[in-house]
Amino acid sequence: MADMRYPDFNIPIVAATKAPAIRCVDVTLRVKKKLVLDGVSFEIPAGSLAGLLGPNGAGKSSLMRILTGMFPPDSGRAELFCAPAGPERLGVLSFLPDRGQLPPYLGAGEWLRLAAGLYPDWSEARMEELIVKLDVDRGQRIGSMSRGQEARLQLLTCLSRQAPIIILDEPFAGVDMVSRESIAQAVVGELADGERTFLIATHDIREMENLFDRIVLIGEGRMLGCHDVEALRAGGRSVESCYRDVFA
Amino acid sequence: MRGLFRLEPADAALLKLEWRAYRSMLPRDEASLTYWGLALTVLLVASLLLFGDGFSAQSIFALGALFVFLIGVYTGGGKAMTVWENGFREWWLGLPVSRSSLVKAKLFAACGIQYVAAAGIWLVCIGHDAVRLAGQEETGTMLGSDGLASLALAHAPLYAALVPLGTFAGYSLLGMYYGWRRWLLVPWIVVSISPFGLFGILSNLETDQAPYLGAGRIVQYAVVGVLLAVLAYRACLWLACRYGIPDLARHRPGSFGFVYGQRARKSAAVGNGRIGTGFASLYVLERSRYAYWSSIRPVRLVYGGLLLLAGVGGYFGARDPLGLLGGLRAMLVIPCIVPMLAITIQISHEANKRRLEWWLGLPYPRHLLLLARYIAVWAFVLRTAGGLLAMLAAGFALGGREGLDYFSHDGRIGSIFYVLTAYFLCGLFVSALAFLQACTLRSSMIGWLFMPLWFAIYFLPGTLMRWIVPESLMGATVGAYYWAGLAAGAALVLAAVPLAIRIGAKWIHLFVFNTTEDRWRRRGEQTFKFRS
Repeated sequence: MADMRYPDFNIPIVAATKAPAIRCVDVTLRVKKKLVLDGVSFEIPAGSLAGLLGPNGAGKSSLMRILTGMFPPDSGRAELFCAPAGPERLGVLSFLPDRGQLPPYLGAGEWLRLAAGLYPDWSEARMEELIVKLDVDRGQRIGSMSRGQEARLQLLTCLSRQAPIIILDEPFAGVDMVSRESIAQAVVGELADGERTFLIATHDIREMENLFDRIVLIGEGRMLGCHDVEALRAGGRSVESCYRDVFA
Repeated sequence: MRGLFRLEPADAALLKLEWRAYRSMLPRDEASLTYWGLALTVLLVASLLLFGDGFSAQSIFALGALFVFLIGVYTGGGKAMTVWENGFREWWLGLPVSRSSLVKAKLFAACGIQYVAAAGIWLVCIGHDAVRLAGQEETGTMLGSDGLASLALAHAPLYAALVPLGTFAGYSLLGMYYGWRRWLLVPWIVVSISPFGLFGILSNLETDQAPYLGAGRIVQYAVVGVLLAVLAYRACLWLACRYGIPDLARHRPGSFGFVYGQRARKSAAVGNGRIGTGFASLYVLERSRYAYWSSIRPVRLVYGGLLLLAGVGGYFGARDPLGLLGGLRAMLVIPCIVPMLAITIQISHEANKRRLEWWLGLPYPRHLLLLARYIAVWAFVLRTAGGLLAMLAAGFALGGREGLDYFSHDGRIGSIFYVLTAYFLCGLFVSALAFLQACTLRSSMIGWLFMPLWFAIYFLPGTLMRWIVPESLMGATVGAYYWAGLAAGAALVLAAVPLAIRIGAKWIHLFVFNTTEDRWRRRGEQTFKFRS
């Protein structure tokens, strides 16, 4: 029980940025008899902020679960910094699950103290900064928090880590407008370090449109496009118009 | 009485809606008939293997009755526990019918499916006794004065009464989530767990020792059962309609009770000490759940009461050391079952399935996550049971020299250590099996076949203990043969626990994809047409 950390947990971020942070090659997944992902392939360069966009049931959450090593794809490859995704790679990514919940009997402060022990790459300084930015009350019990308050605490937990990849699954789901703004601001603040890679699945395109520099479009488990946002803008299109063109 | 069970015409649709949730489980087509046939066959074979010599025909039917009652309690209780996290909850609460209609429809539908299960168990009991009688020349020892047919006929109304009794008792949990009603959890837990303790008694009954299990008495029990079922029905409706539904309407999925003001700010789950890193912090995370429960005032009061009872029991038990040891033996089944139940709830309760993603996302190998959970539950059980045993011993020591003298002769004290160690090992073994549930999600076929077996596993401690700690060993000198057997058992447990944890770790993520919502979404594609 000496050291439970994964050996690749503290991989140097500078070295890691030379490779694509996330790469999916022909990823296919079936859950029971349903084809959830059908040959999805894309690449996210290190240091970029990518949006994973698509309607409900498109397979976004399943793709993210594959990237977090929750389970392997039936076929194809999912890689993080050129190494296969899997539970042993959880050290290089910080994941915010969709509709995930924290232990309700803990106070927020208790959870954060525990998280500092659970995550070897935890940054106390960043946590203190985010507590102010996201307006989290350390004294409040998680079970008594509103959905928005808990969403902010969960995001704080994700962003207080120094993992080089951050995967956020619907960070705005059920969150009020003011909280959404503070979450988006926290993401922008994080981006200022320029070294992390973000993959964010969201329906709230407007809040995030200006932040994305790459978008991946998925519908009915199939890859429907992967665009550089600057190139889109250069062509006179916005993320929203591109989304409408594909899915409307 | 007629008004009590009356459903308004508009409620028929509601009942149909509730019944629809169970319809896919009915033996209604070739595939489901095969599943049912296989499941009952597995149950019959398992019962023949597990409940062989020492069980009379009456015991087997009585055991079946226990099963029927417990299935009712756990189905009702399980449904009452999951409705809080059910996505349909708010729609359901918004239906323009009375609260009692909402609850009645749930109760009647749940009873319906359990009558099918009870009929299956009844057939298995008949099959079991018929097979064993066919292989015996002298049937009197096993059957007593009753014929198999009269026993079977007498048990049919008992089973029919126990289905609603168990279901209503189980569903009454719906009104016990908040406020003063949480005190009712104590008798509820006693009702839901104590039948497991009866197993030991039933398994050692000879026919001539159990006239109260004869056919005539059983019919009387059925009448009492019906009366109790009516009482349970009234209590359940009152609790659920008056308290349960308003509580449900206020409940926020994922929250942990209503905590306002000061209580919302207080938490003693982690404490102020240093938490540590790595596996130590994982353990603290798991332990915090029990620390929180232990800090709740009603729980502390109940535990204090139990400590007092243990002390008093020990004091008076000093005059009947053998009886005390027998009682201890029957009660030790409970700490064997509690860790398994706790682990099952932690991984398969609807709200907990949603917490699995955060948990599985922690940067540790999964077997360590499971190991931390396993150690935490056992640390809690050992601390709780240890306190009770210490009080029992203290009371025993104060109760006079008689008891102390009894155990100080012929190495009888060894029998206490033997009993405690045997139960501890058995508990370690069966609670590790709880992690294997994840495998049942790999296919519906495995799930169906595993379901009856899984229920039988709760009786495993009682069954195993009949062989490992026989009645004759109570207060006697434990021979080298038994100690060697215990050592072999310890070796088996030491090998089996890590294996079960490894297998569980491989498939634990399947719970994430098997929330009720996910299952229905997948099932929706193959749904059959709704028949009016």
